[in-house]
Amino acid sequence: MKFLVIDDSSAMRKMIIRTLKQAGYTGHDFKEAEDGQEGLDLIESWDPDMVLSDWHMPVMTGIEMAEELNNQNSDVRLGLITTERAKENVERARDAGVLFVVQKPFTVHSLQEALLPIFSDQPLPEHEQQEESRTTTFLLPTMPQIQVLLDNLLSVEVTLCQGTAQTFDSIPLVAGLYAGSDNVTQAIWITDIRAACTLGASLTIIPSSEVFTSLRTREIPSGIFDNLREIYNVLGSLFHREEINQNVHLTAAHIIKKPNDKLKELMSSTGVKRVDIEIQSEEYGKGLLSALVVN
Amino acid sequence: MNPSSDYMLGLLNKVWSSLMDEELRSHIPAEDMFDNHTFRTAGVTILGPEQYAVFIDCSEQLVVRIAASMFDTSIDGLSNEEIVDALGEFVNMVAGEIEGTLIGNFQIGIPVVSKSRKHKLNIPSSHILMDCWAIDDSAPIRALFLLTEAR
Repeated sequence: MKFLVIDDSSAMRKMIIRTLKQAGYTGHDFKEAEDGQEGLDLIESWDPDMVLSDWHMPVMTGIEMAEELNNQNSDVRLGLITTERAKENVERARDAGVLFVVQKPFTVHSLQEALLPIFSDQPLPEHEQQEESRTTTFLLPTMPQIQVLLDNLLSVEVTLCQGTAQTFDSIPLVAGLYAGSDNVTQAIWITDIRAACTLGASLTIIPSSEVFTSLRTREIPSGIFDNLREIYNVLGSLFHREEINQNVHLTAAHIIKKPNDKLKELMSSTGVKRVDIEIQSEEYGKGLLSALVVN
Repeated sequence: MNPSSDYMLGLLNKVWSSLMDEELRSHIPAEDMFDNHTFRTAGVTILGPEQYAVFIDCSEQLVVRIAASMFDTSIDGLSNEEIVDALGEFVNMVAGEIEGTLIGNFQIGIPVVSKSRKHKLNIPSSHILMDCWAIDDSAPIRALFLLTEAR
């Protein structure tokens, strides 16, 4: 996937790219531009999958660039990362086809929340759909495979048993998105907040008081989230594409405070291959963990 | 500390802690502070129904820490251009926090950053709305919010 980051501040461009990588968007291509005009030129010549732009820049502002792209009927995905907060201006951006406006200073989580609906809804290009339908049969992990992996990975013992489907009562959820070499999302690991805390805390033995605070406030602290992302990274190895001996890689990990209709539909679909597991530890309690193959 | 400086410190800390994983503490500047520290100043306008300006007056010691955090590098490896760029973006973010509290449609301008200096910042013909001094590791930083033209 190709990300174009546009900001007149070199420091901000570096921060955005670093934060994208922290959010799990590793292994992608990044290019930078200093203003809207340079951004337009790169959009035309490089054809990025996602453009993240500042609003206030010399030469051409982010909103001027958005409106120019809108006039050209461009289908490039554009989000603004800006200090701009005025409701009228945010509406102007929406009218120009901007998908989201993230405010500075931003966090890993605010970027993840903005990008998740875009990439979880990402349709396959037609030729890829045809090709994938012929060749892709990702295998779901089995419970013994997951148990062995977690036994080796975690510092605290956890037990697994057959679980039920996510009911969205224990939000936020944390989703790990996985793609093959084509960078199209093929598989998902998803945990409710309880399982997220149990897994994240079990990696480096985070004090149980921190877990209970997280469950009470429904905020996932960065220590637990970072650990969970590491675990998701490893859990991705359990999805396997048998015919061509290919695995997926983690493309992003997101905290989902409010599940959208697309996710609810996905989680309740009978056509999706899935496994639902209850995970429990004496120290941190129990929660639900699900693996889905979405193609 | 008065309520407005308390509020200003909160806005300043929102930006500061997003970069530094810690908070600035309120500070009353000593008489000899301008003898002991070199400062850089970054300013930006907020234009709309009224005209405002935000200034960050920051000791060189803290400026390089801000820049090192933004560029994810050591303080020794920074160029002057990178330091200026980082402080400009810092004042831009503080101004964004302030703009969010204003009623009406406002536009934040392009930041300007001064060279380092040892004398106190003076801004004539303006009305100070919020002003706070803070400190980290004995190095001071000031955030100043001014009304420059009322309509």
